[in-house]
Amino acid sequence: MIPLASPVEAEPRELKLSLRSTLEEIARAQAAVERFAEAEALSEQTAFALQVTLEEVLANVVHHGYEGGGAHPIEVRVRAAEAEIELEVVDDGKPFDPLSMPPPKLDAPLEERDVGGLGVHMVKQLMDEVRYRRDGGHNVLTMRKRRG
Amino acid sequence: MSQLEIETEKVGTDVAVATLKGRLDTNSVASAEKTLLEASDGLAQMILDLAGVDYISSAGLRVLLLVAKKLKTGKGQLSVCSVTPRVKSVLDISGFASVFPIRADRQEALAKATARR
Repeated sequence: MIPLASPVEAEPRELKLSLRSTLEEIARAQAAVERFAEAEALSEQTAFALQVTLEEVLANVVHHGYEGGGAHPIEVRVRAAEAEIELEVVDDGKPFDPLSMPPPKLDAPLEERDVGGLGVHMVKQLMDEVRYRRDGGHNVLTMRKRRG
Repeated sequence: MSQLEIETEKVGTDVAVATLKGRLDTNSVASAEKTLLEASDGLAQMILDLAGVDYISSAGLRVLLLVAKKLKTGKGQLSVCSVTPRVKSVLDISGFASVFPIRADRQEALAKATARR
């Protein structure tokens, strides 16, 4: 009898999505990631963190990535390993390193709070690791979240 | 497709409670912004009941901030109540506890709002 591969050594499962750079695509991507999270039995907290992160990153790309507008391709990859979930977003927009953004003034009084800049901050807080690289005309944002 | 419903109820002349149901996200914030900014006109106190909101992103936070700022300009105040744990976690990591009061429930929010007038 051929032994079955043990679950520990199983290949990480992947979800790949090819999106267009429109805001409507965010809901479609989130629905797919939600199904993936359910299949992976991720905790509600981890699944929620992935949903919010996905929206923040995609909204940033759509809003700021393309000067001329038009629909550009955005690739989303979610990879579920034993200990962590990896989320990668690749776009061909203008170079943008979200990690270079100054942190928002979180303790400022209401009058001085800026209405922007919170998305990147939230991604950094919700994920355990966020890395950016520019690769062959593409922005590649790789994020990791430990399974909770 | 609207993923967010807002129902506004006036309490007296210058206090209102808006009950939100659904998602406060990129795709729902444009209508939410318009509805809430209009509803907050001339109010001394506006309470957002968020019991039915299970998702909020920075786009949603932006709307809350805009409404809070508008009320403050007219010497009014925004408060939120009945926040779900998920939404609370987002408010916490974004430092929104210093932006407006977060009340346990509608009763407490109304009591504080009417006491402040």
